[in-house]
Amino acid sequence: MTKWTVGCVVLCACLVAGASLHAHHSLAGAYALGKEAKVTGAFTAFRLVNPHSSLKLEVKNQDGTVTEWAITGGSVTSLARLGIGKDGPNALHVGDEITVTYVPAADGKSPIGLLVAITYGDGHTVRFRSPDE
Amino acid sequence: MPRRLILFAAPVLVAAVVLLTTPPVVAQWLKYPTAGAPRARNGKLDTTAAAPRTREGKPDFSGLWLTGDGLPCEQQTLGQEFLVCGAELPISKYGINMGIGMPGGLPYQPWAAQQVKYETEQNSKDDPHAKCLPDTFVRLYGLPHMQKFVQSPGLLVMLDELNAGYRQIFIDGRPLPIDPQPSWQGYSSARWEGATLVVDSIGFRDDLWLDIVGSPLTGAAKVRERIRRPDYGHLEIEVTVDDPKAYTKPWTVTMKQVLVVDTELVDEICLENEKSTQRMLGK
Repeated sequence: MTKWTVGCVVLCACLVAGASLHAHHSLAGAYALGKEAKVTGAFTAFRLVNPHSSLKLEVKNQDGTVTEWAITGGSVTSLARLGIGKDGPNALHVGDEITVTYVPAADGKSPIGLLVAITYGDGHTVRFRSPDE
Repeated sequence: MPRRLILFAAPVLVAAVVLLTTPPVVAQWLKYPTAGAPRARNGKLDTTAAAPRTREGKPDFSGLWLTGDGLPCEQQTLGQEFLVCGAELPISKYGINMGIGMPGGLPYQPWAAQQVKYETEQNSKDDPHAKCLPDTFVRLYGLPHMQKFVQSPGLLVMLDELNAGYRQIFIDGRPLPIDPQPSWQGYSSARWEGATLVVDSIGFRDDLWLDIVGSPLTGAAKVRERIRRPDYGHLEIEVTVDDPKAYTKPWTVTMKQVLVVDTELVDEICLENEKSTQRMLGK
């Protein structure tokens, strides 16, 4: 019971801290548009909220420390149209190791980004495109 | 098997069978096949099929539409740093700058040119869209959001996924109001010219934006749309803006829409987590 409570508190804290970054219009200054990068880590949370979702993952650094990354994604509906929900092959579960392709921060170092694609543990990739692509 | 165990196991077994054989309800809703759409053998929409007609013989614009002027991924920044291809549905080049195809751009009045220059320099920090305010229909045609058109003989309704908005076009040639209460979508009256729906609109607010760079639309504006459906999968919407308060002369753009099938609108309420007001500070 205690572990469960602590887990809930940690999860809620992550969700509150993970308020999505502004991304549905001008992005100048915040992100290095035109660039892409990849980061691999353990999925911790996906805050499904409009206008933009926020994906969290924990990434192990070379020195053994862990950094929490926050990746801003599309709207809740756009994610649902891609089948990202609680079930199915594109569902994400806490602890899943995923590789996220993202547009990096303009400063080149902040652990944030814009979601471009998710590669799952089984190797398949979901790229965030229009529904007819 | 003891009778008590059978009584317990039977309903559990039935429930398990039902759960395992029933597809997820959410998946059904967002992937539900659109009825009546012409399709090729592979099941894909035949976009070049003839446009549907109403019982009255007029083109039927009903359907789910998305901008057909979406920027290809290779041009994701279009020389300016705006939306990222892949993060959302495609945005139209007109959604970024309505005058993108015009030599010299839109014919701004001096104050409007100053607004566009300032907002471009300031990363469009005052964009009403970024603050989750409604978008007027000219801008909606270029945004990365779907709209559903629902047409009846005397009325065309446009339902906007973003903020669950709507617009009404009365297809009865009714006179436009003389002194309308300014509104986000204005007041629209339409008539048919052959297969083209000609829509006249007035009565806008004085502070509307038509694109990300801040091209304005004011209360002095008269907007005429000429809407065609050349085939099943496409709309062509020619928009003429006559707004002497913001522009030195009328201008026209033609925006395309593509039909989207096998999905549905789901309201996307921007204010759930609006952060732009506090985070978009400009330079």
